[in-house]
Amino acid sequence: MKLSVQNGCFSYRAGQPLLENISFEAEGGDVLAILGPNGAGKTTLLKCMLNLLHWQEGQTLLDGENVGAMPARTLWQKVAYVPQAKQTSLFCTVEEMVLLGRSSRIGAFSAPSKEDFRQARAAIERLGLSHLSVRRCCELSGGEVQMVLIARALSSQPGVLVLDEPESNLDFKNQLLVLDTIEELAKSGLTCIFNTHFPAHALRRANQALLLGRGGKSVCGKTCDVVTEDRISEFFGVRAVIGEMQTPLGVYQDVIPVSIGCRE
Amino acid sequence: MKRQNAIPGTLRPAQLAIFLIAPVLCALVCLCVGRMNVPVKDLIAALQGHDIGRQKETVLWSMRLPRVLLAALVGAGLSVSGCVFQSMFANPLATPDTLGVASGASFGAALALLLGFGFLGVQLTAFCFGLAAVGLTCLMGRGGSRASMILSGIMMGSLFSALVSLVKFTADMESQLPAITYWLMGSLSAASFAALRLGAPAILLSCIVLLLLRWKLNLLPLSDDEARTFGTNIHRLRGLCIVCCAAMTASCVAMCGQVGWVGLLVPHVCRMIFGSSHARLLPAAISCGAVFMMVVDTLARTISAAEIPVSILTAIIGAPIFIAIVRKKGGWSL
Repeated sequence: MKLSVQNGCFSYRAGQPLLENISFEAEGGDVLAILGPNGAGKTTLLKCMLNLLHWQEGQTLLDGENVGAMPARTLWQKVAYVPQAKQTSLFCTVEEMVLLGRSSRIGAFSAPSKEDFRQARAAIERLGLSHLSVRRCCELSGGEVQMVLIARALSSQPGVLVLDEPESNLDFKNQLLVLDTIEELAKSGLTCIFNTHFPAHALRRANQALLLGRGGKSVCGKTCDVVTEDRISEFFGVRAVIGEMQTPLGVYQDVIPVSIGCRE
Repeated sequence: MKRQNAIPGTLRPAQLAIFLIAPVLCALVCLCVGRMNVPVKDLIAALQGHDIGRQKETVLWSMRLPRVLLAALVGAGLSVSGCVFQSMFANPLATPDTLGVASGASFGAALALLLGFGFLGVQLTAFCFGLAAVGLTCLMGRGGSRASMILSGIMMGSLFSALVSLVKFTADMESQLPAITYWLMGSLSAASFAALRLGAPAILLSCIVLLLLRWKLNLLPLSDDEARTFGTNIHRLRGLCIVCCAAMTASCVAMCGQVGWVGLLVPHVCRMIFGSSHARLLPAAISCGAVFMMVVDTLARTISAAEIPVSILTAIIGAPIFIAIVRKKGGWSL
């Protein structure tokens, strides 16, 4: 499924543009990483893109159809959103949480059908959470909760998966688990868009990157063109080096922040 | 293998059967118990249409039946509305009175008693003021966060409590004040079929609507944006829930005064035992709430010749049960 944003503009206060002329396009199989310093508007961009906030100018198109004019249920059958885990209410069991993801396909006064349950269970199995299915979400670790939330999003069989900082607050292993999952889902044909604080994750996992800066600045393109030492210095105000590490397992790129301040 | 087929968050057939049968059995027992004991065999004979004597028939059908029905309705109504408010505000301290319904209804009743209205007049005024209080709360808290909604509810509640005090202050010490005070403590002694006809529809209708919405209610504890990502109009859902809960609570308070605790205690106990999925929680709350209230009210009219106000008993009986279950189950979270 193709999601494109055309000339999106948004500001919370008049005269102080937060997002200006944002344009990008992601298709099935693409992984798009959105990078930027705190307060640059990463989460706001996701919300505008999904019509949770409204673009003041510009629009989001989903397979050519304007998202702003789409009925909410139609939109959310095609797109699924994974919120930041720490902001979510974890009141029920894993199965019940994943089944919630089917809500956009269940009428207001109807109960989930066998098919809804089957899809929920399939999503649980796909992410390897079967052993947790009857546990309460509030008893799980941060990494497990994140995977549950991804399973919840997948249970609605979306074409586009949008994740807000999916690997924040996780340990090494869980970061890898979440990022591997995103990569695999993209390979299976989903369009994946995620916010991240780690340029290295974007370099390794995403084929496209969008870099947001303060005051409406932005740049979008192929990850290797966008995530460069110069751009990091310009957008984050941090001097960083991007190095290649030769290891027995292969060559890996890493981004190391060196000092605060711009390059001369 | 059986688990594989069950839809998560629903009741097992056995549980559902218990929830259906328990209130009925409990009601039959409560009909028999009282200051005048009616043997179970007399009740069965009466149900089969045999003559058991005028006095017993009057006690059973005219005095106890409306009261038992009222207790069941009030218990179920307050429990359900407690459950829904707790989910909606993602706050375990939320009660049916969080938005000021009960305080508003109390003021309406106190005012009507002061003005010398009849029983049904009191009920109607209380109901209207209860809804008015919620309406004002929603108007004040509109557009804000859930916390600002709770705060406006607390403000509205304290405003109406102050107005109740004002009414008590101006009431006649000899006749009106005791009536108002007794009414505020909550009592089901005024139960009659006339009162039920006026109050029951709001409670039953709201319960049915909320039961039908049970799967959508699981979206209530989520934040606005998160709930919207499930294609649900969360504001309309919340609005509908508030209307249902307010109508139920106002109806309960209008029929029997403020019955404390039920709306906090029963939802908590049910959540700890049955989890937070509303498809399980709501039937459990309806059944447990009805049973709890019928038992407490039966005790209230049986223990002593002078009836004990139910609120006192709900706290005295409820608190130990509650503490025991919290210690055993370790609480719950939203």
